[in-house]
Amino acid sequence: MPFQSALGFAVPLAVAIAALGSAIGLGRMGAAAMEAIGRQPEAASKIQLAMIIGFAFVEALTIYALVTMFILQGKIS
Amino acid sequence: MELDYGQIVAQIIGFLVVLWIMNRFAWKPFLKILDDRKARIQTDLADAEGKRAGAEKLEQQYQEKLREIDAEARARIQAAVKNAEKIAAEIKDEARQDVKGILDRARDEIERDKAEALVALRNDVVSMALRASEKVLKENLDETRHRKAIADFVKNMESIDEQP
Amino acid sequence: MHLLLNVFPVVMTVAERAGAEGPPEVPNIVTILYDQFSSYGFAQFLHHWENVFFSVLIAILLGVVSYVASRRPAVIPRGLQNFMEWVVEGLNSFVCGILGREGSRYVPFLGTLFIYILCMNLFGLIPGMKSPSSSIDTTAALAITVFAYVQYTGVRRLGILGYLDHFAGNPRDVIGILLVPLMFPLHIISELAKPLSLSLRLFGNILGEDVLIAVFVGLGVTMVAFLHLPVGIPLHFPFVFLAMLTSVVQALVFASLSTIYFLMMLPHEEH
Repeated sequence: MPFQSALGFAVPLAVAIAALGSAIGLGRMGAAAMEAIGRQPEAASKIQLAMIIGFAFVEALTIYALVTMFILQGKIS
Repeated sequence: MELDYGQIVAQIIGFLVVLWIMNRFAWKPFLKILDDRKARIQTDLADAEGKRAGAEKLEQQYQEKLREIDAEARARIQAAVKNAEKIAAEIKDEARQDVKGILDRARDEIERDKAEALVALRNDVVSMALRASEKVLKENLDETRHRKAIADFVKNMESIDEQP
Repeated sequence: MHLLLNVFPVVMTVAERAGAEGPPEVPNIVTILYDQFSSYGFAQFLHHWENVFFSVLIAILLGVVSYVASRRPAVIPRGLQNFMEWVVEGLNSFVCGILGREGSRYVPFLGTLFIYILCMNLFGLIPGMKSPSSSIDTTAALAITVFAYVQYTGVRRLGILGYLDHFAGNPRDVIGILLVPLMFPLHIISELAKPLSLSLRLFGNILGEDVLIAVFVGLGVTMVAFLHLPVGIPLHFPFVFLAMLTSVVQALVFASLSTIYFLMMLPHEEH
């Protein structure tokens, strides 16, 4: 298998796996945050801020995979 | 996907310029405006608080004064009532005195009238007796003897008169 | 917003560009000029400094808006002044809410960072414009600025010794001193990873959103390419709203993470 084909399979798969992982993480995080807001509606703004920052950390992992994809994309063709 | 250092430096300089512009034209004036407004609102609030306290004090003073006035009015009314009672008592006393005086006078008068009437009666009786005895004993009895005899008679009569 | 773009004749190039080197992008003023005058020097210059060109456009826009808003300050704010006061007050309370009382010193820096990044992110949604933040150079520049300012603040506020102490993990007992050789490289690596993650996050998000829009614009154009008309189906339309959300969230995340880096570097009260 030439390395272009291998990259063509691997790169989207890498992004997909990374997205899967961070989707699970984001989902759990969002659920926990919603539960916390439901329990303490008066602290909603603080929880939202923490949630968004946490989202950013989790999401960054997918973004790294995406960046890797962009870097490797040029080598496929 | 390679870093272009020239572009990075250009972007850093660009961001610093933006920072300077925003600091000069947005942050400094607007933060100052906000601070000024906050300070003004605080002084206004303090002012209002002071005014409120003053008004409260004034109201308290008025209340006190009103209470004083009320008390004074009540005291005056009480004094007037007392005065009136006193006057009434005086008037009653006076009236009682007057009544007593009038009664005394009336009794005196009655007494005097009675005494007068007694004297007059006595005189009348004396003169009537004199005239009767004169008529009866015109001839031989001199007047002085007669008078004595009659006086004795009258005295007897008086003692009889006083008996019942 | 890209609806307008669909009437551009040049939009046909989107489909052609999709297969070209690098991620697909919607043509903007600079690429159009470059396509037309690729042999001229000014077009080449603009094409090379594309992102800086758009950054400067945003800088001019921000400068003009702030100047007009603060030109005649009124006691009772109206219109633009009211809006700017709302923005300034919101960012001020946001930064001070995290950093506490001494946060007001860093409000101009962090607030400008937020506004600038937000404008850069949203700029790509205007037809004919491009998000400068979809280039790693721009985001790296911003992250390096934040990094430099945070380190400067650390040295300034903690002193050189306090700064080194902070990097050694504040050793106060035997175990702490023994752990210094472990903590020191760890802190340095985590400190260096901060600008990297900041820049890559912003860059990846904005580039991803722009590429998504470009792909759907290209798809819309190729679907009706048989008509040979300069039109396309605005398939990318729902993603514009997603892009708006991402732009705001990423700007907020960049600014709040920078604020938190400042918070971690400032002297803590519990020590």
